[in-house]
Amino acid sequence: MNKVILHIDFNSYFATVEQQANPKLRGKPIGVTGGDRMKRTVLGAASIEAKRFGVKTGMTPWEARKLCPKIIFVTGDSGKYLEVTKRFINILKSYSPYVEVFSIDECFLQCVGISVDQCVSIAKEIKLRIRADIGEWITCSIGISYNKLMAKLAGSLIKPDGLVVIADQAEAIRVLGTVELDEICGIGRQIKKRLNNSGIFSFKQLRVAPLPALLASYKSYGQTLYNMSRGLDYSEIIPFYEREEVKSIGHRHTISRDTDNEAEIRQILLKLAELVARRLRAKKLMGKIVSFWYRSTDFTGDGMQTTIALTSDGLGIFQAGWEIFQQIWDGGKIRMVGVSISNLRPQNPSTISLLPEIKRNEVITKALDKVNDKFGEFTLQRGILLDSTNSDRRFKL
Amino acid sequence: MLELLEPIDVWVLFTKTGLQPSVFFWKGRQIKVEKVNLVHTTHNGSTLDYHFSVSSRGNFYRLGFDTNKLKWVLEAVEEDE
Repeated sequence: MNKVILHIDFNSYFATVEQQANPKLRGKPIGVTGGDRMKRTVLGAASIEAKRFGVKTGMTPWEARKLCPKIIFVTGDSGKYLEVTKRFINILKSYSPYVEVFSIDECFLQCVGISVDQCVSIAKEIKLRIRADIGEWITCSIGISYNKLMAKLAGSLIKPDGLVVIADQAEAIRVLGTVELDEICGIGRQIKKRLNNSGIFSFKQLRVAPLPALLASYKSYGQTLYNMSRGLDYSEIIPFYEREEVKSIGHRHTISRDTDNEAEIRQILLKLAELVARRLRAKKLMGKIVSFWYRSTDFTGDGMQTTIALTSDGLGIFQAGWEIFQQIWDGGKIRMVGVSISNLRPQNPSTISLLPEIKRNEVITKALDKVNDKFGEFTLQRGILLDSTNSDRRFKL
Repeated sequence: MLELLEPIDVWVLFTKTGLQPSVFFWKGRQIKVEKVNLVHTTHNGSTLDYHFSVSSRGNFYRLGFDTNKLKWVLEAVEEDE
């Protein structure tokens, strides 16, 4: 049975949602930032109006203001964006159960047994429903095609508020002849550079490259490149209810100013470890491999991992991680730190400890979780985390 | 934009689609909600808070409703000077 894929992508998502909430921001160049840490933050999104000045996601506020002096910075609010995404997914689910959530602002929708023309009608209806149910300022670009790769490319061709169809492979080859190599999902700056170094600057040239040569240069990814140049993509929609298992859980934090203060770094790492442990316990998981890493002022850094007994205890994660952190940290100033845990296993069945102190800790942790679930994160916390003289020690993630 | 957390009195409508602020009182003024632009929710522990981003006479306000205490606060204001 024939299938048609729709790729739906919100335009300038975070910025548009902010403009939807506050009409005073509409039609104005805005940048969504991390808020009160303006010196360290980068733009999470730029509005369509800011993009016209060359402002891009990932720029520092300083760079953005240089390009667009009238830009308005708005503090990002993840609650707002998640809510809009939830409503958006619910709209899509009413058309097909095959909805893949690709990121917070883009989804794939697969329709089976209907024509491309019918899909165009569905796409128009989705746009209307987004305006009616979520907000009149919210727009999205929709690409329709015979596979995910081409649907995503089609969706990127007209922004904002586009609707583009790439109906078949012949049309795909024509469109690929009009776009740059890195305009397709899966070819980044590095791959583009490598292709350019091999004398390949277009999809037409990539199609001429023999498969064995691509495999020799790019290993298995050579096959992907070979397929991309021909508009082929065999990846299936992964519906939202078949989400992949969590492989690791991590948190990182950019400190408001570079620091080499050991006590401060310890405190931030412990807080990150506690957050990681809370998420582990919420998912009823335990982890085995603890990784701690940092980034210095000059954006270089180091990281290391260690294996411990399965745990979901924040202090246990911190203690193992701090030991390795001391081995990799040269004592220099640090900009960012991160903690993660992998090799995850379900909490049950686990070996029940016979040691009373471990049993006692489990009881305390359960009680702490109950209180924090009811009254909010860090309502009850370790004494060492109570010091709030520095804003970084009170950070929320 | 002025960010604040000021308890306020609100008149609400219970419509088919749910609860909606209609009028609120701030600084001795009665402000009529002309349009609800966006509603979103957040959790603080087990408490669910609703946030209504609304417009009145070209001004922007965000009202917060604590579903546990059943109380309203004015969270943000952006008015013409």
